[in-house]
This record gives sequence, structure tokens and C-alpha cells, in this order.
Amino acid sequence: MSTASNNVLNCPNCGKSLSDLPEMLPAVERCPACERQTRVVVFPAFSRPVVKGATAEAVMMEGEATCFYHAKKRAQVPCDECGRFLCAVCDLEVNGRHLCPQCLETGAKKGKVQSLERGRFRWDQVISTLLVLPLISCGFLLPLTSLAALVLVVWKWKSPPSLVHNTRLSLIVCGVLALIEFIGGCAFWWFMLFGSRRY
Amino acid sequence: MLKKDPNFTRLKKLGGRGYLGRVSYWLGVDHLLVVEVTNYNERYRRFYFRDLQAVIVQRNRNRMWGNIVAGVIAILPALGALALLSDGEYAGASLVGGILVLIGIFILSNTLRGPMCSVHLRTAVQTQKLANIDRWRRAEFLIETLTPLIQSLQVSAGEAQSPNPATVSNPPAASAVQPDFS
Ligand SMILES: [Zn+2]
Ligand SMILES: [Zn+2]
Ligand SMILES: [Zn+2]
Repeated sequence: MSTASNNVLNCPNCGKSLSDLPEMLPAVERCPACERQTRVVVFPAFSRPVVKGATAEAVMMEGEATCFYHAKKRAQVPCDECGRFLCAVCDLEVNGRHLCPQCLETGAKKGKVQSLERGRFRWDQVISTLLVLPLISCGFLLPLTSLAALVLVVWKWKSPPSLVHNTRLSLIVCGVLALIEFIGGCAFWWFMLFGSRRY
Repeated sequence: MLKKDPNFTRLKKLGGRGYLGRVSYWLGVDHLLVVEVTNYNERYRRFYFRDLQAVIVQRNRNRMWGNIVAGVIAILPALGALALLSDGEYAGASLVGGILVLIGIFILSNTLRGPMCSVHLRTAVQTQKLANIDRWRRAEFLIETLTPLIQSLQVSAGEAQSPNPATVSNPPAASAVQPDFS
């Protein structure tokens, strides 16, 4: 990851400028410095000047609606979540929704504003590991690990599911497997502790 | 799930399993969503069409190196197979021959899949490498998919240059409801 300076496109390999003339970039076939075959597709946003952040307008007239957070700035939009009036600085636009900084923060934390989410933890993978690993390494721990898996299935049932994998289905399958492993593991211990004594 | 979300289309030609984990590419209404699943974690990268400035595809020598490494690995079994053949151990020789055939298939498919490359997306604030798009043909597919979307969005945004901040007296139309991804 590197920061990009305006209107210069650098070679990802050697870091030298691919072309001194921005309008020549689509015609680039090789990096002039390292000679790697290169294809560049440039979009209009490339030559557009960087938009400066909006500045809030000061209230001119008495009685005008003002920002909830800045009493002296003119309100522009209400927050779509809590309805507070917001000035241009406090208005944060996300997917066409106008949010105040506070609602944005709580939304991002709860995973409600999906486009702000950076990732999710895959509990279903942890549970599968918990079910498979003891089977091939330390089977005598099965009652414990399968019980832990079972608890996790119930505990994490409502946590945000994967976007690319059917988490609920995995959890159901894991739950059934955990039950089988638990019964099997307990039967093993029962047999080891009490079964052999009879003979 | 994204699969059931009408706002997203999976770009099935891109992504797959790599050393980074499983990567999938999804085309949203206004952005490209890259989902990287590594150990116990799912990471989302979003590239908004309005922000994308350029795509840079650069050929590298990974295909050649892959073939060289496979060739070097094949030397030992090849010598072994020859030794076994000269000893008349045909069963052992055919077993080692099987390994050689597998290596051969790898080299052939690696060659046929075309030259390898890296793909970078550039926005005003960063240049980000895309995971698991390592063949030139796949990169071309990405460009062909993205370019019309980005162009139409950025050109229409450029025409409507005058920003129109909504006012309190005239609140914005019913905001798009966030799709529920549960
Ligand atoms: Zn270069
Ligand atoms: Zn709010
Ligand atoms: Zn404010």
C-alpha cells in the first residue's frame, strides 16, 4: 500500500513514474524504467482535482435551525438515524444516508452500517477446528472439546454470519457433530473407567 | 449472504484459493467488494466506482519461475525413473513416472493459462494490490467488467458538477434502506 501523489502514476514494481504526461498513460505498454509489460486504464477521477472537505456555514439570521453539535453553524440535514440537525461538517454520508458522527460510530460498532464493516470473525471455522483437531490428535479430550464446541454453537448462533458462507448451516452441522462426539467421547471414558472392571 | 443479495453479483472468474486464503470478488451497485477469508477471519475491501482513478496491470515472471521450479523438482524423479528402468524395475519406474506426469500436467496448465501479472487499483488515497488475480486474462476480464461501470458513473458525476447539499426544509428523499445481510 502506498500513498498516491496527484496526477502521477507510479510503477507498482519499481516505483518510477509510468509516464510524465497523464494523457499518455493509456498508451503505456511498458514501464520505462523496469520495462515490465504494463497496461493502464485511467478513469475521469484521475484528472479530477481533490475535493476539499465541506465547510460549515455560519448562522446568519436569528432563529435559523442550527447544528446539534455546533450551535453557531447552520443545519443542513437531519441525521437519518436519530434526527438531530447536522451542519455540513457533521453530516457524514454513507450509502446515500446522512448520519451524525455518533450514529455512524455506533452503527459501525454494531455492524449495522454494512459498508463500514471491515471484517467478521469466523466462529464457524473455530468450531470446526475444535471438532476436527482432537479427533486426529488427542481423542481422549473429546468430551471437553465437543462440549466447548456445543457451547460456542449456541453462544455464537446470533453473531454476524459470514457474507460468503452459509454460517447457520455450518453451525447446525457442527452442533450435530459435537453432540455425536460428546456422546462418543463420554462412552469411551465410561468404557475405560467402568467397562474393563467387570471382566 | 451476498449470494442471495440482489445487489451483488459474484465475479466467478476472479479469486479462488491462494496463499492468502480464499478470495471472492463481488460486484455491488456502486462498488467492487473483495472478500478475503483467512484463518478465522473474513476481511472486506470495498472499492467505490466513483473513487477509482486507475487500474494498473503489470506482467511478471511468476509463470516462468513456476515452470523452472517444477522442472528442477522433476529432475530427481526423472533420474530415479531412468535408474529403475535400467534395473528392469518397471513397477517402481511407472510409479515415479506418475509423479513426472503430474509435474508435466502442472507445467502444461501453467503455460496454457497465460502470462501472470499483478493488478493494482488506484484511488486518491492509496494504491491497493488485488489478491488472487494473477493471470493476464483474468485481469483483462476485470477491466472489461469494471470500465463501463466506472466510466458511466464518473462521467455522469462530472456533468452534474454542482453539488446540491440537501437542506433541512427540503430533507433528502427516503434514504436507501440498508440491505440486511443476515
Ligand atoms: Zn517499473
Ligand atoms: Zn444520529
Ligand atoms: Zn456541526
